[in-house]
Amino acid sequence: MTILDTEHGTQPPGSTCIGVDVGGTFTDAILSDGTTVWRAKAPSTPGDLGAGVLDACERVAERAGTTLDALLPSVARFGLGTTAVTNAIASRTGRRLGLVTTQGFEDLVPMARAMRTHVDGWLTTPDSLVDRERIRGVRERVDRTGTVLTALDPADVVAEVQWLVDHHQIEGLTVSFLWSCVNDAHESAAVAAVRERFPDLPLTSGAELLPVVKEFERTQFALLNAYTGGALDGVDTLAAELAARGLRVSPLLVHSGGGSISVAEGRNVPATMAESGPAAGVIAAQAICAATGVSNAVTGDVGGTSFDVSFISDGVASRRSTGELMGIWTALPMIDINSIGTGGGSIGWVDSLNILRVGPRSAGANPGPACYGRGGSEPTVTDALVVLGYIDPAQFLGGTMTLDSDAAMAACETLAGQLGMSAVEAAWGIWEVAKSSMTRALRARFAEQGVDQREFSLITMGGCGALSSAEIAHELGLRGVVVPELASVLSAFGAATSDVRRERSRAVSVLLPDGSDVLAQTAKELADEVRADLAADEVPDEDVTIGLIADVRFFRQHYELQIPWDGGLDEDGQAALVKRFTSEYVSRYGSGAVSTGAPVELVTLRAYGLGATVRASLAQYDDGPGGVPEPSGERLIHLTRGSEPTSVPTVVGDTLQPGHRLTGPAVIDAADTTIWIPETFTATVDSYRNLHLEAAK
Amino acid sequence: MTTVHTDDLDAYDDIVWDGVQHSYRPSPDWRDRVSSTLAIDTAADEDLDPVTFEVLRNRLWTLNLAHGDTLSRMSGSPIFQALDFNMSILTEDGEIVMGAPFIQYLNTGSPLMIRYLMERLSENPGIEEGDIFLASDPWIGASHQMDVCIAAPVFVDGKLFAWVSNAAQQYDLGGIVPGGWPQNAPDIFSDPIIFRPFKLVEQGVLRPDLEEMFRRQSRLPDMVALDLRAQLAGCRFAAQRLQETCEEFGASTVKAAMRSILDNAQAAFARKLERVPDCTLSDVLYFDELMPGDRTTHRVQFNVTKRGSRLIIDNVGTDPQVDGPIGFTYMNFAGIVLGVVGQTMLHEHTFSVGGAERQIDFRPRPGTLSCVDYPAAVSGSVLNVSSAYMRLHNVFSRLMACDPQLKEDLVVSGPDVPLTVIAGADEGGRVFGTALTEASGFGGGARSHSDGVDTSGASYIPLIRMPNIEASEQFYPMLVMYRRAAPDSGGAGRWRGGVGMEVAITPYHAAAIDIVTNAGGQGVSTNQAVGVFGGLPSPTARYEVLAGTDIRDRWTDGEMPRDVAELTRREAQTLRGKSNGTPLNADDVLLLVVCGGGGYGDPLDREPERIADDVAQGRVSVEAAAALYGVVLDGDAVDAGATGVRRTEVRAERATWRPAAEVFEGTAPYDVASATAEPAVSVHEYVVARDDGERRVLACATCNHVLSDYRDNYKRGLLVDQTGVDVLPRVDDPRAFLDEDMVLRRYCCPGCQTLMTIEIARASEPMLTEVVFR
Repeated sequence: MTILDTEHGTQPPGSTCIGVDVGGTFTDAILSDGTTVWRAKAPSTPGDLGAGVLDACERVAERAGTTLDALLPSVARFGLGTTAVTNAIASRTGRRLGLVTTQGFEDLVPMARAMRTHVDGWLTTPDSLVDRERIRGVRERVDRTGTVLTALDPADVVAEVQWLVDHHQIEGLTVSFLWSCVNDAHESAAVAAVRERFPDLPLTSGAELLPVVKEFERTQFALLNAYTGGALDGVDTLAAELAARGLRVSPLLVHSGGGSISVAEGRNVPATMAESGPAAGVIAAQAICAATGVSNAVTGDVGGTSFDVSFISDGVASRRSTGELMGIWTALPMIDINSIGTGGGSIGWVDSLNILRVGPRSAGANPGPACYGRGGSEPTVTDALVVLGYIDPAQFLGGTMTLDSDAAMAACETLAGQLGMSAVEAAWGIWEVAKSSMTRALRARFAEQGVDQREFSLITMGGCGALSSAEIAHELGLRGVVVPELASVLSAFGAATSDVRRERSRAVSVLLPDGSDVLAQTAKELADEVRADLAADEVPDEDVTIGLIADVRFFRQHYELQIPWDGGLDEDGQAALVKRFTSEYVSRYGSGAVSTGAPVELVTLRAYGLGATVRASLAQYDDGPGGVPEPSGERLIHLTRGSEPTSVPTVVGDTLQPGHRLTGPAVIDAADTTIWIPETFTATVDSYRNLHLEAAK
Repeated sequence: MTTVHTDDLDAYDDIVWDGVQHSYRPSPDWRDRVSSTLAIDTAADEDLDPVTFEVLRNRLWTLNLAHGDTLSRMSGSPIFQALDFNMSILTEDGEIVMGAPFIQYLNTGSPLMIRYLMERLSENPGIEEGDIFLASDPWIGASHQMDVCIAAPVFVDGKLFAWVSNAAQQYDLGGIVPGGWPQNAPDIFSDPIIFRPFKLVEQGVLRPDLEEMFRRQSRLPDMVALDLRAQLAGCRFAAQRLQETCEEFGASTVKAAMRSILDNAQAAFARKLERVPDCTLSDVLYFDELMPGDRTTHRVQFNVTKRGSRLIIDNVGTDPQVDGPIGFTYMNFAGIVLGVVGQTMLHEHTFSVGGAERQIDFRPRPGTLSCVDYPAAVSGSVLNVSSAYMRLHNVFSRLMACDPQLKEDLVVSGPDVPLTVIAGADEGGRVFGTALTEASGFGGGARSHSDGVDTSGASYIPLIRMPNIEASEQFYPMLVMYRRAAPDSGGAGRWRGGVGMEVAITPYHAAAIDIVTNAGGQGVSTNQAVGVFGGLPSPTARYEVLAGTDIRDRWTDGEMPRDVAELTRREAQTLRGKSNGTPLNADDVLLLVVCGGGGYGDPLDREPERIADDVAQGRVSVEAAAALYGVVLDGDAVDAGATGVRRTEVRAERATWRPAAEVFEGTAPYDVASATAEPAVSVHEYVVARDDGERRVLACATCNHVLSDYRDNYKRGLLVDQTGVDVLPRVDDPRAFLDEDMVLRRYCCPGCQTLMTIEIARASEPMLTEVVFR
């Protein structure tokens, strides 16, 4: 059961959707009126998320021939994705945390239940979000039934927090006690006492955020939310300003699973936003797959700081709900996205063995690549592409930004000096190293998945993704490349297309059939809670769909299957559920797998609510005249290492129409992305104006 | 009956390895006895493009892991949840193409089982598509009877294409003690039942009569039935996926990939061995307690001889088998070697141990503790397999330290498993029994460049997990007072062994609880993980029952004691490494201390700042910092002056140790090694081989002091100190448990007093030889 399979909202005629994606370097915005999609980019503003968002929105409104203030009252959907939380985790710059837990169990988080993550092929303990010295135990104990064995004195908690503040200057706190999932009296008393004494100390509680019977997972989830809590600073101010300027709907945030949540819920559980921006991109790529009939694809998102890849198999994005996120253990359900450290802003440098390296250090948004002319002097991948001629400095971001090609050249010259080569050779080196590192990362991901890459197409995203995609696809033997018309703003588009999804669950642990009213009662309570959650997200009641899922297993097993339960809760409905479970079990494990007469246990009941929202749709265009598009001019490009620049025809992206076909070498200068078609490739334009690149047979 | 009384390994050639008295080992001509009615598919593409190879290699890996996932998701057993199983994909003639990161030695017997099936059963009852076989005979392919092996032939176009198999620990299969680890079984007839290989599923149909026969052996037939279904489904799943893969890529292409995986692993292993000088490495360990209460120890020795690109493994020096469950069969002897090799030398080759196996000659003498004959009791001794596995880590660490690249990958021994089983009934009368999986929460051995991982779990179960406290308390009538890292439980060293942990539990809403203890090696009496190159051992595990405590009164008073030391008690009893049925009553508390890994290198070489951090993190006590590491702290910070003085004192004390050649007279004869004109090479963390005039010698890498001739035992050139093991923190005098006097011998360089190696031995043992170069 994934929300990705469902098509709920649509974009009513006359309504407007805005999608925004805040990346490490650029903030992208798209604006859709149902027939046309406009896009714009603005520099990101780290530390003040809202400024970059408003800047991008103003630019996109301008593109559509209006102003943001004029536009906002008609906006029916405002979706926001961001990598802010990702960055806080990746760079380990979250809050300095303290943890107060049950005395005797202070090592629980560092031990991490002996979970392991990979480091250079070896298994090691995942990084702890809180140092052992900042974990304090207090005397209290509740048993498995919720009975208090040892009472808590909240003053003990306050004293420990005071110690943490005094000795470790903590910036955030998590409180998580054993069995608080069954009886949260101690934990809520502790939280209340700390909030009263330290009103400004950000605080999370395991029992509040994830009341499940699994103390490690519960505590870890609370810690991750406390850790990343600061990353979304500025989003409330942004929401308030948008409202003040006329926005009538509340902005929605995209979470790592590809669904949307309200700003308030995002502030409450920021950890669920860990892969927000990339997940939005994958959601959009999935929509493109569906529209263009591509069933197996790998997405490659070349951003400013990283190269993110994810898989779409049979039209559905791969997801995961266990494992680690950048070395931190988490059990968050999310779209399965892998990041490596090479993007447009990645810096080329020379290591101690005099070998040219690229990344993982990035010039980021500020100062950015040298050619941005903001004081950057180190050569980045983008600078190399300017020097080599792939990027037209006069036409960057559709001409909204002019690049300083002298600065790019100077930066490459510095590097060239260290390597004893020319600036062009150094630029070529940076570009080759960047491409091979992306190729290697993709190859490794294919290998891990155990799938045949020859069945997959590469969908490129990001500003400079389409410059390398044909060569990477060729190197890996992929089926082809799809460059979406919205390639450089795909995450922004995705942010405006996902539904709101909320879920509540409760452990019930009954053997089926169950004659009591426990199931009916629990289902009703859960549904009411989910309805209330969606109401808080401002989804009108008529747009809400509620569904039930049962986690079922044979009695004494340890793993459950999640079975959608839509047939009523009475005896017949329960019998149907058991039948559905058994058949799902047989289909997974074979008909011999079921031991006759084994009792079936319903472990957890879940209610989920889908809030259908207005969402942006892909624009479809009529067929053009076909044939070869008119070249706009020519550009001198270094095609191979050490060669003199060659004159290559250029095509303006806006002139491409469905049915067009062109053969490389050629460069397409699209609005905010540049597409490189190598000599052996042919490009065709489909009815959504996506470009399909295929190697000549 | 064949009896061998010689150390001449060639004399072993006449041993009849038929699986009757001695273990089954396929003879070189075993294929000649496979029925001609069994069509075998051996076709493999000559050329395999590298992309297809990589896709298939990963496809097989994913398929094999999914096999494991199927097993654990369908099972109802807490043992399966602790991942006490493994699975393999094998070629048509039973070479392991791929293992999985579960218990490493558990499924290395599947080649034995499969070759037995092909040799003995292919005529009658025959091997056909859809068949699945079951076996639990430790003299064929099972680690012990509880690790039931399931193997399924995979047919493509009517021909035997490959095999898939799994082995998993069962909840109960009879025997005189519930749970399958009877420690008071004198011989196999008191052990859980043995199943010779038989066909359980005939052409896709499970034979109900045979399933009934299997279930009937268990105290918990429903649980065993659930797990059996899981194992069968796992094999079916894997076989079906393999067939689908053949359909997609072509059988001969898939077979070519399987062959390449094996060939690559073999070649990689051979190349690694070639980088190491020819030598013989040995190690000695002891097994305590034939049966609960017994005060004897028993000697086990491993000898690993490296010649060119091959290894010869023998067990000369190992005691003959005796009544009582302390020995293990051939399957384990070979399996633990393959497990350690797979982990440390083939980790980039997806545990393709079949490739490595081609480079190894196993030459154990049967009738000994590490290769017992029928009818020895073996089910309860499986923890000794684990202890031997851990000690082999040290043998291979010494081998790998001879090459700078291999040295990066070595892992020092982890500790013995202090298995703890609690069984009884809750106040509602519901019967329960479980091994506390906390026993696997021990620390990892140190590496040549980093500390061992704290509370990492066993190296041979890379994916092991500890349960949540709430999960344990939910399922069993017990309450956990604390579970925390245990300071000083990792072996000291330049790189420290990871620490283990302490767990205290008390019955809670229980009608009755009994404790069964079963620790491997000498893990409770003497030591746990021994360190290498001067790294110290980790201390002993501990089972302590505090009877008649005031814990309940303390709860009433609103208290939760931080430590068992705070409790009053009527009586405190330290349980032996093996004990059956100690009651744990309502007011009693069980303290379990699970230890850490062995250290690497001289503790005096550890940076004082690391020690300060260890102390701050609760990994090392202030006392041990001074005693073992010579580091004096002033509050949280290092007192550099006092540390310098203390370390000088320790070295001065070492300078007074006696020359080993005087303490232990006599040496094995050797041919003096002539100078080679080759440069000096490192063969040990602290020893180089170099020319010295006309001779090739072993010398101290730090101070250049010549220690011995290249072919002599270098320890003869060191100073030695012999003390009780209780000089180490957390270790008591072993004589509480043993009649034998056990000693810790520390050896240092006479020139610079660097601690170069240690050994733990019976006081009556001569100096142990750890390596002899050729």
